[in-house]
Amino acid sequence: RHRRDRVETIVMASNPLDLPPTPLGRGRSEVAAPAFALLFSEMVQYHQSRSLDISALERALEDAGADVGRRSYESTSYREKASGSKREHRLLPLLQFIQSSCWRSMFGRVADSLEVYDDDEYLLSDRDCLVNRFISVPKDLGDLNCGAFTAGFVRGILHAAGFPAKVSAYYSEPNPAADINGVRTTNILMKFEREVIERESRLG
Amino acid sequence: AMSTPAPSMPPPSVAPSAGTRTKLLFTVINADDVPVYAVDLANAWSEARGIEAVVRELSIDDASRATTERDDYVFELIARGALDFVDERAWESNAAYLKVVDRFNDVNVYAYVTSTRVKFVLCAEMRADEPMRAFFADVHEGYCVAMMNPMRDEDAPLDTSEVFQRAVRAAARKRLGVV
Repeated sequence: RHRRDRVETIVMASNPLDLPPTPLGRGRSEVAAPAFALLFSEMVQYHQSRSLDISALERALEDAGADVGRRSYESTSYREKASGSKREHRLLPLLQFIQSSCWRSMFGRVADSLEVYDDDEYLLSDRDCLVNRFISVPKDLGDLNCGAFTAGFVRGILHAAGFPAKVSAYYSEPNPAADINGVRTTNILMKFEREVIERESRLG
Repeated sequence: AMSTPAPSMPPPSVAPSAGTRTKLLFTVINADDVPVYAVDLANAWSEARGIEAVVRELSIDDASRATTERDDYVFELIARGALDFVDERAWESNAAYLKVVDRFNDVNVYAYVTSTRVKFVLCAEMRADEPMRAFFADVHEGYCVAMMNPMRDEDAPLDTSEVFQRAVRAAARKRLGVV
């Protein structure tokens, strides 16, 4: 019976545009961590060989993350919000959506905390940032934080949703009480453009 | 007494009256206001309608042909002109479906905004909220799938995406009664 169904589909669709549409589906919930680590390490090495300095490398990783963020935000939003019937037009609900749903779809868990610093600066924290888990930075690369990819991921989402911001990643100070296996917390700092703050206060 | 269940509402028909051509212009405009897709849903796939399309084509006189050709541009102009209203409405609520954002004579402009601020705009002479909302939702799913392609830029035209075109065509048939 299965074979007959497939033959019928082929016969009926003389025009490929008549084939049934591809559903978005629920998305694959788990990907092997070593597979991701391998892919990410190759990407870092690729950009490292093409970058003149640390900030150029971080920028390249951020841009790569931004592409991922923009695309995954549309799909995550469609799946989570009753087939796309709702979207985020205010800042705080959007940040909470990023902290929970976007983080869960990308990293399998929610981000640890979301804090506000000034009226235009917000901070997301992740104690066990997947992107940094398998990375050890040699001394000669100094301040490099490959969490720049995650910062770019957030920047891509914010920009796509209409809340442009400068987003950067940096490590917290070592904190023996909170750090897992001595890995420092990764912080994602978001500094929003003036137009975002003005619109938010106008919308009240 | 026996009662038969009420028939479910058929989708609104876009079958045009003899001698005229109904327009159902669907456009996709990205977040940077670059149009990436436009199609006249009522007429784009007219090869599928065979002899009826030929008869209809023959019955159009020159005067109304000139009118319908001019109408092509009018519908596009209406869609462009409505974009400001779409932007205004987009910041008023968190709904994706914005219903009718503008009207021009008999033409209603329906709009839908996705999470990444991509606008779906539909210009139609008919008035029907629920089918439009369902149409936009189906197309949105197709757009999500097309967007996942890492080779596709934000301003790349969508008519190269077979996935998206299949979704638009299926949605138009299922929700809007296009043949």
